[in-house]
Amino acid sequence: MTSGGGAVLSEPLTPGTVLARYQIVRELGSGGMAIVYEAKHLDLGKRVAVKVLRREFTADPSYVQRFVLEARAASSLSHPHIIAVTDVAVEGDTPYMVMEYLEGTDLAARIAASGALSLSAVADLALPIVSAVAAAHAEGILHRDLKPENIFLATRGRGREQPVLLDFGVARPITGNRRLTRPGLAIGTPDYMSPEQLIASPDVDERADQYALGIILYAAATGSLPFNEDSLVQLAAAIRRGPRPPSWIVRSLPSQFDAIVLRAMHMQRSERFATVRELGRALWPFASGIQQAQWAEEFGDAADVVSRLSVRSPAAPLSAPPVLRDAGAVATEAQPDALRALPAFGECSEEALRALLATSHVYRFPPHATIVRQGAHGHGCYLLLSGEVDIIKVAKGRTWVLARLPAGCTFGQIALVDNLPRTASVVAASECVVVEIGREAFERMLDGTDEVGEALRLHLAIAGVRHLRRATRRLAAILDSGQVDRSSADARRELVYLQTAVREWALPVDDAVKHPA
Amino acid sequence: MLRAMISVEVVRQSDLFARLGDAELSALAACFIERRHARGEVVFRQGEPGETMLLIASGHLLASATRPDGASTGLNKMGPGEVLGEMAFLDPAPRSATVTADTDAVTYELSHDAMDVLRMRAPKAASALLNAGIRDVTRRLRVLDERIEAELNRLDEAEKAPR
Repeated sequence: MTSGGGAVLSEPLTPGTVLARYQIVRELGSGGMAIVYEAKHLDLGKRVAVKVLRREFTADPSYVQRFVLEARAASSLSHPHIIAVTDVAVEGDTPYMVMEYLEGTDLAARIAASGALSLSAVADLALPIVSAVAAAHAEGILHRDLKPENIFLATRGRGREQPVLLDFGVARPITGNRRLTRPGLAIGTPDYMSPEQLIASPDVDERADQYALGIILYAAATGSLPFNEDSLVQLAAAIRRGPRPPSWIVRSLPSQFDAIVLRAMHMQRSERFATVRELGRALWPFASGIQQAQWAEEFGDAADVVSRLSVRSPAAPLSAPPVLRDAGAVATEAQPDALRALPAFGECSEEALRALLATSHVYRFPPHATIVRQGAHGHGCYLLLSGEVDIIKVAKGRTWVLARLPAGCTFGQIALVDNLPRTASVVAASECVVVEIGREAFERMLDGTDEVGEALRLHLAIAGVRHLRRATRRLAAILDSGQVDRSSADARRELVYLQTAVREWALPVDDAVKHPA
Repeated sequence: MLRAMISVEVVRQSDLFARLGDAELSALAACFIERRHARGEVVFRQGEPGETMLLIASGHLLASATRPDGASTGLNKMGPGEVLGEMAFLDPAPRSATVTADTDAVTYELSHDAMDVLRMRAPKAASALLNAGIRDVTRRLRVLDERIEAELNRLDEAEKAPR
């Protein structure tokens, strides 16, 4: 630690101000306790982030001391998913810490922009964060302010997003919660605070962080907070009543996930998981294949090493995935021949199709189970191997059964190509077997030069061209019929159908609406 | 119409193929046939069978289409580096517009049959063509989607308006 001169610093710092070797470039953001700036290391020319304690706290030596001590503690944590603290110093009487500069967005902004994330996306970003929190707990350090704003989705290296935990152990009184009121939200955000923190219990342990992780999981999987109250009194009452299970909000969430989240955020901490690592183990089966492989050692148990190997070896047969997308869905298996019946893969070799199956999930859905939910963001695209599905859309307050599609159809690909929310729900009309190709596998297929990727590209391009031609003709026919000018209900039905068909290539464009509800 | 050497540099300048390496570009260029068009010449007519894609090497072309009711759509002028007929190249179908040479022009033509050759000799070029096709289709579907949305909004307005 270095100690600078006695100059009184402005707040916020003006660009160009130099703190030891760091020149302030701009303000990045501010919280209740501190302001974060982008700065340049004058010798190395490297971009860094500098966090400076707010002036109102610098007069109190206990805050300054805590800021410095906890910055040291944070810098002692070396974990790929915890932001690296590289320096800590005091300029005048103002302490600051220097951290790695990250580009990207935070989880709060992601949830605000996209709403609920898919279950596998939630698990994929939770595992690295749980690992980071577990590493800190092993060092005896609590975070105490886990919330989506402190989980940064950083684009490092080749543009792949990595969750990084921010604000580890930054000066924060464990008890005294004088600023703990909305809308200040200065010291810890009450929404993510454990009941024991809310009552300012002197005895706060690792399980408080676990509680916050539970709320984060809830918020990420449903797009909403379990308790959304205006005052601490109301919040405490809501916690006593207990939250609605996540699947009440997003019905495709399985009951196992409900159980995990509700256990982590249990009001009685003795009812929570014994450690956050156990929470990680419970979440592990819900992660994507690639993340399962990455975290198998930390969160998978011995038997799971087998599935890790099968993910890495593309020629290995499909192992039944432990993840069930819908409470009614059952993981099952499929043979390459079943895929070859689809137009896209008619000419692919058995080996290439085995590789595709090894990186996909195959599910059996009972009748009436929802496979894809309107408005949700894409898990993947789907190949219907057997059974029939209904395409159902809610638009302008009415429900339309748009079509019934047979085995062999594919659906959901446009959400992957174009990242749009699902435009209609897909519901099993009879028992269905469906191959789910996740986003990563899909993108790998599109980017790759392998046989399956080539076949999928060719299929998408040609199916897309044909679909576009038919849809264009259909729109011209509707407009030429003059129905729109007469503002008829028929025209609306036709247009609603066509709009969905345009977005979901599997739908036959020329069909009329089958069962207007 | 004459056959001549295809300029790799011209192909490289097209957005569609800008990311390909030299070897891929050479393999791709070998699949093109050069066509020269005098000003005013019809390059292809609406309704004719189409299965080729054209890359404009020099000059300008004009596209226009006639709707079933006889009304004419606006003219679309295209210049060097632009590609037309990529949908017919992926999936042969009657031409949706008549294209004429607005100036003396040179085009490089790629026929549907060349796809098989490309997939063997220049798989990255074949992939680039397919990805471009998917992107193009997605873009056009989005435009269509917006038109439908506009029509639905027009219906809403009409229903709200006092009768």
